[in-house]
Amino acid sequence: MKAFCMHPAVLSQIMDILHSRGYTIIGPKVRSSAVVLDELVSSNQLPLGWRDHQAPGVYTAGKTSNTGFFQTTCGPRSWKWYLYPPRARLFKVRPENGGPRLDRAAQPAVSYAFLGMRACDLKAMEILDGVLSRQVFQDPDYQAVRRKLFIVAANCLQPGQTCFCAVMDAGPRARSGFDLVLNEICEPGRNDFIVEVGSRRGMELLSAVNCPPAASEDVDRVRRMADEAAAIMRRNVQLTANGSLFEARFEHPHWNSLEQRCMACGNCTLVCPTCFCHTIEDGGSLIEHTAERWRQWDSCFNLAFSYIHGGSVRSSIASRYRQWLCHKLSTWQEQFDISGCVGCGRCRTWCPAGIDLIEEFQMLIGHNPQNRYPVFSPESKEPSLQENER
Amino acid sequence: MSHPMDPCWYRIQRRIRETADTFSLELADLDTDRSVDFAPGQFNMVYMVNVGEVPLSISGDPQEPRLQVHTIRAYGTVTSAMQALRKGDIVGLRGPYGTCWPMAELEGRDIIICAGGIGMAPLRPVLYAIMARRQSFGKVVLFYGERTPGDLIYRRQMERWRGRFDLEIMVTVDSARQEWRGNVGVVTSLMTHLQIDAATTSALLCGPEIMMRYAIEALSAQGLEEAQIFISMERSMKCGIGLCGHCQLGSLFICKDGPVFNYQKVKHLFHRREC
Amino acid sequence: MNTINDQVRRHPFFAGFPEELFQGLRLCANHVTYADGETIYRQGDHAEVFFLVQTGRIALELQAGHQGTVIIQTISAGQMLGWSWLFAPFRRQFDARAVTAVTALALQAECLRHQCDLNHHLGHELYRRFSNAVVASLQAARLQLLDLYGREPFSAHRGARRR
Repeated sequence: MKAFCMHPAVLSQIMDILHSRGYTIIGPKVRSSAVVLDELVSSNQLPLGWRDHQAPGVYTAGKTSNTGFFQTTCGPRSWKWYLYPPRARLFKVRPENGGPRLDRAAQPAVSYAFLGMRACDLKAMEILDGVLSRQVFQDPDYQAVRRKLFIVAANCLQPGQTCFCAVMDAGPRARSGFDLVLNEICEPGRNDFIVEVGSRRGMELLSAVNCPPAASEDVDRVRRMADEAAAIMRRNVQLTANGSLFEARFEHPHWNSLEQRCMACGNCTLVCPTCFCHTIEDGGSLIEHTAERWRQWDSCFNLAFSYIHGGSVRSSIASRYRQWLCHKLSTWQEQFDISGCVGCGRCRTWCPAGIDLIEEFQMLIGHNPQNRYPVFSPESKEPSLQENER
Repeated sequence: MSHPMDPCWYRIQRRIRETADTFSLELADLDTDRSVDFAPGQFNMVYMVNVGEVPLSISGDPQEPRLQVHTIRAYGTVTSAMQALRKGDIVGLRGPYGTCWPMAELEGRDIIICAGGIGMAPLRPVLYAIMARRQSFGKVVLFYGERTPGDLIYRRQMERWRGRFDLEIMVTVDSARQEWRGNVGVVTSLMTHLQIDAATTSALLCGPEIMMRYAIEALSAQGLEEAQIFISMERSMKCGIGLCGHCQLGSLFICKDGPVFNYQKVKHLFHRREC
Repeated sequence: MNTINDQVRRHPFFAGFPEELFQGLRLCANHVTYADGETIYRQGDHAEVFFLVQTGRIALELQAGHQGTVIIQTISAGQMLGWSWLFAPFRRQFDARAVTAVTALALQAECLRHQCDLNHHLGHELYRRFSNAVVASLQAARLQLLDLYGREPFSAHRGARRR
């Protein structure tokens, strides 16, 4: 992969070119004391010097003396907000000659340029492609946005506190799926991007600005930093999910503990970059004499999500949490030949109860430091409640 | 390129009152004489403008694909609103979707059909298909359980079929008034004296999961192989095409991997609680 | 003396049981206790014992899939739980769960069945008692299962579970 050295000032030139080509640039921006994704009109809006701290149920961010643009990790909003918007009108129906006539919004899909997309989120997009774009039925709206997308990714050279992308084989270094990827070197006396090229479009854009080839020691250095970040994540988190693991633990008593802790707020599904479940709302408008169909994000934590005549299939919160975790780490693999989790850590950070998927997973497989729950193997009888109390 | 969430428009050719809360709609394409082939067991997403869209199994005759027939019990918001639909009204349709009963595999075999409540609707196309080529199948028995005699659907049609003497139809209800002369009890109570040749028999089940569970137990007790039992399952569905995520059961999407399953393949999920 | 045999004999289930039959009866019984909420057995388990409940209350439950757990019957102190051991294939038909702390006497079924086979007088006395329990639960189950195909199946049970 070709690598170049880019001065931070060149970033605004790149943004100008993208704007001039009709792209709407989405990237990190400070809003309500958090670094979130939003539309960027200028590089001044990038969170220069901002750092964040994340832990289960904890997020703080603030400006530091740091001189980097991309020194925060994932915020609450993921790129699916733009790829697969939370609420979208699918069509309108209006009466015409005594019959219904279907009107589809004719405006073309937005051309987005994603700036500062992380490796985990690139992997998440690959996963969404598998769900929405490679099955028998496909989502044409998603495909239209996806086709026009330009991606300037940013590698993570330091892991966030809730990150585990390396464990899910999704990061911290982006390997494909981008046009350009930035490696930000920011230290006293030096501010540079080592830019790697991932596509012809990326090369073409980069040749329009002034970027000399990168020194090989700089390329080696950012590689090494990414490797170290990966090693830190692998040390902190052990997660080896596979289907049979959950098969055997479907009746594990630990699930019941979620009934008390989880509020079924659905935050984890909203911040998750791969959760794709949605509902369809049909309704009418009294003013326009039209009917409309909307698609809206839904969450498997909602009681109504599994409602059929007679009641909801998953009426307990514990069963809804189990559905979510098993889908992410196990059944997704069977459905789409890929794990549904990229290790971005958003669900850990944004759970208001601080429920941590890593901890829950370890409880379930028996790697529990307090050993409150006995290890359960398929051969042994399920432990009784009495045994747990001992 | 057409969007998979866009319906095609159909006009109601006939509305048939089945019971106080159940009715059938015969639908034909609004603009063309187009026929849409479907296989017994499949479903359509049916859209009532201004109200909503629901998955409904197809209950018509597969030999008459020009008509899409749905039998609807007004239990939900949308299906209740659909009670107001009349001949000439227009509805939207997407489909047909999902898997079907294994009609080709059933040829030459004895067939047990077990229906509970509105679960009878997706099984009627099976009866049409069997009746069209009756000699291709062995002994055929239909067990049909309902709430009360007044809730029985397709009653006249069944009496006609029963009159042919090559189809055994056994009906039971959970409760009945004095004038009812038929059986009162759960569907499985009909099966106690069943004589089957397990080696040549297949069973098709559709109804509440509890009913299917007991029916499977009763059939298994008679020696029927699990691989010869087929069930049709129900879950919440918003899209019908595997995108909305609502109908998941383990790794299965009921809308595209089902609704008809070989029992042996879903047994491990079928018995799970809140799965 | 308060031996386990005395406790079995004093249990209402054995009320009126002929003394001479009891003298000849070899009981394979032991004390069991269950905590509030504990599962006593599950549907499909091998039924090898039946229980004479001394204190507390047990729910017989049916896992009704998407309709949640339905309690079809409760068994309280002085009553008998479990007659699946009477007939092949000796599998539990429902889940039994303690809804309060429970103490009970667990009687080994196989041992009793064998004695009933050898002594039909004993068998008659025991089976008569079980028949009563069977008929009672059958009637209850029938009433509860009436509305399987109805507009609001199990609505009475579901009301309390909604959240």
